[in-house]
Amino acid sequence: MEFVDPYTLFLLIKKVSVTKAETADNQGKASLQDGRHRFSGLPPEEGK
Amino acid sequence: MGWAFNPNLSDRFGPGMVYVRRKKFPNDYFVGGDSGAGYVNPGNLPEPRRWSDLPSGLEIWTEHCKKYFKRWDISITGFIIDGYAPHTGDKVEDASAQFSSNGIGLHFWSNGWGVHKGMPYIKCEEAIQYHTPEESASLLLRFVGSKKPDFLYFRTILMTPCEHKRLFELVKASKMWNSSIHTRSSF
Repeated sequence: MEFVDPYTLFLLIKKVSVTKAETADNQGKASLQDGRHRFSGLPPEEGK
Repeated sequence: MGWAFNPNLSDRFGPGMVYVRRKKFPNDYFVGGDSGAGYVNPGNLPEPRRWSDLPSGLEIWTEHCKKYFKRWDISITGFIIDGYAPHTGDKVEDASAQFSSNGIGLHFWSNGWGVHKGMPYIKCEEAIQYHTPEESASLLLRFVGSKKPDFLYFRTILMTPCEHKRLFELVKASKMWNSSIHTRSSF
């Protein structure tokens, strides 16, 4: 566990995401799609 | 530590914005607050706008944020607050990428982290906000202990610098902190 500043955090997220996508490409799998972690995006009253 | 002073506060208190930058310590960083340059639920800006039926306000809001982010050399939005508005959505993320290219903290629109059109994002955890440093440290450790190793991003509200210092001290004195493996250098 480690604390990092927000600029370092987002840089690490970007590096890991790119590495994961490249690995998936190299293995012939579909690249990771933007938004793969997302909820539906519907307003709260319409559920999520 | 990212201090989320909304950069448009400079219109009212420019000397304060300068002061905190002059007095910052190496661990102090500045980001945009909820939800860019000004407190707003951006999910309410794209059409259809539920109550007002006005045209989209996304473009003018984007230009507003660009101006203030550039002026104060900010490229991260600490938190895009959804509240009871429609969740952030792709249009708001596309807009944010124009002024906040180094990252955004998300509310309901994400339950993890990733990259949207080159801009990294992460869900903002609200588990430790509105508590004392002691309670926040306990909640943070419990939260981290329930997770697999991952990137986590926490929001605090109305917590002073001294209270943050206390929070960090408590976490760093914990058994979990001292038994964990620090791996950042491997990236």
